[in-house]
Amino acid sequence: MVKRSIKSGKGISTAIGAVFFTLIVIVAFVTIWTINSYETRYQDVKTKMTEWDTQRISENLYIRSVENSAPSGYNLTLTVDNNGGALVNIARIYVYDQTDHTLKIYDPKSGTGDGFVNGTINTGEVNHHIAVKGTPLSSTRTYRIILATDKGRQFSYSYPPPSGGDGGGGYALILSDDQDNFQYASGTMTSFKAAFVKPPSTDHTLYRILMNNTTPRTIIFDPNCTMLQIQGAVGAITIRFVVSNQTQPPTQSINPTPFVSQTLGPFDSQYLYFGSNTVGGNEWQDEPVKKDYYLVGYVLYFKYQGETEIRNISLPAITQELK
Amino acid sequence: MVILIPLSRNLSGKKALSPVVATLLMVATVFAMFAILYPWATSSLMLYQSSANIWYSSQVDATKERIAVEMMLFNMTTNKTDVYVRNMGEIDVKIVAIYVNSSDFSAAVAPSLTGGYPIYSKTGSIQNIARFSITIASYSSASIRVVTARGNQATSVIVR
Repeated sequence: MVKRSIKSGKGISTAIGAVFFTLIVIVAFVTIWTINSYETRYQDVKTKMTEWDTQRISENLYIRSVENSAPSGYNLTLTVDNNGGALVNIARIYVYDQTDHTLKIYDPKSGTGDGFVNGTINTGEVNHHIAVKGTPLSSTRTYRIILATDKGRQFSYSYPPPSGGDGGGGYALILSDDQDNFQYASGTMTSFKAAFVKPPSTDHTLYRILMNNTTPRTIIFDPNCTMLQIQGAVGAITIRFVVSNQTQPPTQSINPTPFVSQTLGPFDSQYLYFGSNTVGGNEWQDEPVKKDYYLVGYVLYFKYQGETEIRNISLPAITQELK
Repeated sequence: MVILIPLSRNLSGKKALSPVVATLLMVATVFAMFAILYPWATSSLMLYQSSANIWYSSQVDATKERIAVEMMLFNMTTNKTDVYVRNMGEIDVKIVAIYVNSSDFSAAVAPSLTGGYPIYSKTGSIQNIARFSITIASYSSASIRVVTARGNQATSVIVR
């Protein structure tokens, strides 16, 4: 056929045209394939960094104590529990002297200078000792000690610990052991109900928790106080921020009152309200729609009256069922 | 037509001359069209591909970026607020702006942010952290936002 076509001269241009057309199609295909490989690479990076973020969020250190005694050659010992789901590497330790407002910085020790050793804490490890070579803590001063991880998280400790707690970032504020300690109101509800088991997709949902101040000091809450509602099956997080305690049900047609400040006296109890979708905002956060088990955690930012440093405490997670 | 038919018969004398010329003309036309179409198609596709490459590369780089404001400290004697920014990501970052309560304080920052101040990603024992000193006359509380050249941000709040 080809021989006959060449011999007769018929269809040669068609054949050449077809070859050229095929060439253009191949170039187009290669281009699409290349762009697809870019997309694949981008998705791979996104997946990898999402996993990294998950690990970062799951970091959870509890500083049991800071002592002015240490092995030979060191001055301080920090005793730490890793309660999170990931191995934690301490990247830096800040020791802020709240009396004369000076800052000491300790990096992982190299050579004979100041620094710390043993900064890697395995998952589930308790009573892990981090030894610091540096300036000993004075018993007549107060300090804020911050452990910064290599994933950018910070965990802090007061030295000496506030009376009534051990200062380890979990006891100055506790969820009241009361039957009305975790409640919600939504839609046209005129009073609060227990929020441990509730329907999903409720409209304009306002949560409140009853907090106890276990210290003899006045606590001032910060607008960054956050409620995290984490869906058990998939880990999707709904974030609510604190709103003013002037926000009351019914919430159907009223926006939450933006949070300015809320003060909790020594050994006092008060409700903290959560409903906004932004820090200091007045727009409702939507309630999850899926029927599932959820873990509800609170990160409470506060300062003691008379101090400038913002501290934070994570409350133990509450299990909530939306059904 | 009446003239051409005998003329062509006279001129050709050979039967296959006209089909050869016609074939050559067709082939030449195909080559000419290809010479126009191929550069246009390839350049368009290459442009499309390189645009996609640039866009995806920038997205990949931005996705790899992670920064955090690790510590803030207000110095009462100098009216300076020290901000410690850590690069935890997989890529070097450039800090291009620092906002205090939504106002641009980049010009009041040391070291200078002109052209972007680099914080390198962690390699070996090198600390991937930078300290910026912002001169702020007075504030009771401040939301400090650090912005990278790729548009990522980290925010923290300081209260005096």
